[in-house]
Amino acid sequence: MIMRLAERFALAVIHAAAPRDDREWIVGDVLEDYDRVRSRDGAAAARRKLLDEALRTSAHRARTTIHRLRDLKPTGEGGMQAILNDVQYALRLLRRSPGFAATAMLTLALAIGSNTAIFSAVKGVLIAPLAYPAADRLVRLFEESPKQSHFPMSPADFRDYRAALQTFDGLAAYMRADLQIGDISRPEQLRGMQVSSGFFKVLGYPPLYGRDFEANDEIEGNDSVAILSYSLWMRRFNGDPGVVGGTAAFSGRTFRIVGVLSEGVRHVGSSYRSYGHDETVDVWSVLVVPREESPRHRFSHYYNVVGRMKPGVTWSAMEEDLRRTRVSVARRYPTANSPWTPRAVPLKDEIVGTAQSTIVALAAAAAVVLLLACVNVAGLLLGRATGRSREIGVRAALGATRQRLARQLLIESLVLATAGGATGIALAYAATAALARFGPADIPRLEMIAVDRNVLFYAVAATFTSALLFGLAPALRLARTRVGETLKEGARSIAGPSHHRMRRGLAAVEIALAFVLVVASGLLLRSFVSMIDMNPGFVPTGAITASIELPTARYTLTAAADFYARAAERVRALPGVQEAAFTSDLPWTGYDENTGFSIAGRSFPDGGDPEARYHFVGPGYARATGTPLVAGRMLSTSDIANAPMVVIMNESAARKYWTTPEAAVGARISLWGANRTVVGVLGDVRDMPWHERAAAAVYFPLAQTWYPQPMLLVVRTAVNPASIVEPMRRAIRDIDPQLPLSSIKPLDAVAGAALATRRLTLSLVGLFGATALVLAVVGIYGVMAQAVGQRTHEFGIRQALGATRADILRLVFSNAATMTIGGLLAGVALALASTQLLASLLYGVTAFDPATFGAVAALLSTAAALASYLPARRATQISAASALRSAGSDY
Amino acid sequence: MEMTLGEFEQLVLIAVVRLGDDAYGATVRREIEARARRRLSISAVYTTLDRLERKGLVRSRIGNPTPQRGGRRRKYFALQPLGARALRSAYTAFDAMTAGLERRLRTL
Repeated sequence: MIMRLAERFALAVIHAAAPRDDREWIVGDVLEDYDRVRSRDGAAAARRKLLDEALRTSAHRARTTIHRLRDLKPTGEGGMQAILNDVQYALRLLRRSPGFAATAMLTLALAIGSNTAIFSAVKGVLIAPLAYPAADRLVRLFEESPKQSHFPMSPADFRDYRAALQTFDGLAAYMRADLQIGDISRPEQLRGMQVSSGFFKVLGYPPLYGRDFEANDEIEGNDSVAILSYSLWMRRFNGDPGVVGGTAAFSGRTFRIVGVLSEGVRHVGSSYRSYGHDETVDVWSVLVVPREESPRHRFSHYYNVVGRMKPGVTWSAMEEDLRRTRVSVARRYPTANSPWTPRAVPLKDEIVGTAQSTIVALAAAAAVVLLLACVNVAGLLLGRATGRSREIGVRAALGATRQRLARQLLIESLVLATAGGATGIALAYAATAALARFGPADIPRLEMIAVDRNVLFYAVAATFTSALLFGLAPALRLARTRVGETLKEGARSIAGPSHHRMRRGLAAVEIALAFVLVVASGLLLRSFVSMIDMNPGFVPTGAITASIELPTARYTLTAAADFYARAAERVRALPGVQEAAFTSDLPWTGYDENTGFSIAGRSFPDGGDPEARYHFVGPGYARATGTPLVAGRMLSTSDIANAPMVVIMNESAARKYWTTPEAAVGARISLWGANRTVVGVLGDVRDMPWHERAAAAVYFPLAQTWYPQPMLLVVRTAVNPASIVEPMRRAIRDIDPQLPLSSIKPLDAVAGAALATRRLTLSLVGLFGATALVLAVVGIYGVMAQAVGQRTHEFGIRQALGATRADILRLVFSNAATMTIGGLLAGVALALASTQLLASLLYGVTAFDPATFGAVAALLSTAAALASYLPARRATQISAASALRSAGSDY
Repeated sequence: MEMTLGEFEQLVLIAVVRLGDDAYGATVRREIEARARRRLSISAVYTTLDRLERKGLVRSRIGNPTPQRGGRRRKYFALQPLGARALRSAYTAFDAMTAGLERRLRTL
């Protein structure tokens, strides 16, 4: 029988929770019932039943265990009161050794706190459902071809699929279209999206007032309709329901307001021509979905598409529907559509997407720190156990049973863990608040990160699990103490060889775990450094950027070209400004607009037609961004509408299609219905700093082709870029007082944002790595100090018999070396097995980088040597006489 | 000695009586779920059956391996004279207490 992961998991739970004697029939009965329900009510019902069974079985197990414990009366004393006594006793003991208590508690607090914080991120970003009704039925639709994956749909494909798909309640397209509001005195750039009819119905948000966009709005000429976000409605329309049905001017055009959305409406988001997922949009206008058939609606792909599956439709039925529709569309439009297949992705996967690997890696690192903390505290407890053997011996002699002693010791661990866990939860509150507030913008759903009931439950579970983990071994060991021997031999008796093996084993485990984390931080650090070291291809510092959009209602190609030229000239003339230029996009912002083109006199075998990412730039672009000119010339102010059409290529494109940059200069290409000459080649700038290489790119002169999209002004300055902002605003206002400047940011802040998530990951993993290192060093020191303390007597005898200081040092260090080498070997194996988790976050370094592994091994060995040095030195300073005397007093 | 039965023990025993030769965990639970409209975990059924067996009210036998349960065997239960007596006394008591009240109890 083929079972999915959920079923297997449930069965494993039932298997584990069932009493051993009845396990066979219980599991058998469960399987029998599963098959019955499956054949009668289907797989989903059977799965639900099985999961339910798993819950019930575990709950039953928990209840019976509690009953059994309650019935188990500790000899001589009764239930709760005895436990309270134990707790009081534990508290008294901890107060007596505050150093130990504080170390153990802080270790646990840090570990539990970081785990809780990371878990809240896992829950908030990865697990929590999206804030849409029945969000699991929402999917994003993309198109894929042999050359492009995850591509937006073409408008005509969207229209055809929307009409033909049967398994969807609705399909909607959306793309960014900012609007401006306000008059000369108070112009404001609004974040806007254009969406097709039924967009809000697909998301499951009925408007607060008015209506959703309807099919009729989508027709050219009827499209001056807008829906307001709640925040814009409150801010600019005083929250007046009467605005619905009225008109408002946006970007110099009159719109009829047909609806107002409720608070908390979240935009779907997309990395392409869209704002991110969240309440990121101020105003929504309708998207004109073309009805007429034209190649330009079929070949250009720029619609983001989201759909809602009908209730009860399975994923495979939906995909079958897509395949069917694809066949019929491709039959009708073979040239345009044969390479493209639709692909559906659950909306949540799409939104969470790239953040997943980061968060999973962090969760793994935090879990390792928790494990390490447990091992460390276990080591501390074992160390203390030595000193307590007398106490335990006496209590045993006075009639305490082993069970009673083990319980006492476990309760001590629980008290420690609870104190650590409580502090940890407080830390987690602070950490999650900071993460939600200051987390990088490209991690979605940050606002969902918070300590809630589930997170608290997790923290409590982590606390108890760790108490068991670190408390069990020492408790069992101490409780097994044989009374006679402890009292006879004194402190050394329970610190016999097996006790030492255990502590050394624990220290080796700590080294292994620390190795994994430090290697992970090392790999991330190397990736980050190679990302920063890599020549970015432009100069991020000393420049400021601002966004500006020319409303199509007032601007045409010539007016826009004139505006861009005059504005650049005015800003360039400001004191302290070296260069000013307009561009369609900035480096490292995920810009992704592509076009095919052809090269005069060359043909490419089918499917291999040249393609390039296209950008629009003004004459000063190279100097303003600091991108070098590799060959030919840069655009000039004379590359205008009625001059010969020219383009610039980037180096990647030149090498790909002409072998060298020089060879590309002078080439003739045909692009967007016109022949153009390549006049220059710019240096490469990668799309994202961690990309292997730059995509082929072509730069259009802004003045020759009308591109009605928001433009970015890049200003390179010789003075502090911030001092230019006001003069720049004034210069633009002088030319067109209705144009607001928005998103004013230094270029290095724009570039830095691309690295923000990686920087955060690096610092967190680095922090975990450092914690791990400290814990391991403390662990080794503890083991060595105790080993030396216990062998005082032996060292004394050795010295009396003529051993030199060097001999003693060698003895101690060889002891530490075995432990360290064992730990390192295990660490290498563990790291080899687990650094794959990081693979997607690495750049310019492999997950098995020998240099990093070697350096970390050296680092840990040095740390281990240092940690053993103090105890070793103490060993050499033991005078034979005093050692023998002190040992003698034990007898 | 007369044994008194808990309410859940009574339900389980009655199911065993009703099922005869086919009484094992899954069928016992199915009876109780279907008739008494109680949701319960399979391990609760076995805990009770095991307890009844320890008290000598039922006896169990292990069936042969069957392929559809992944080769896992069933554990069948059958009523013992002691169990029959306990159930009868519980039923008699219940019957005596409710005599003449049937209609009122139904409409309570």
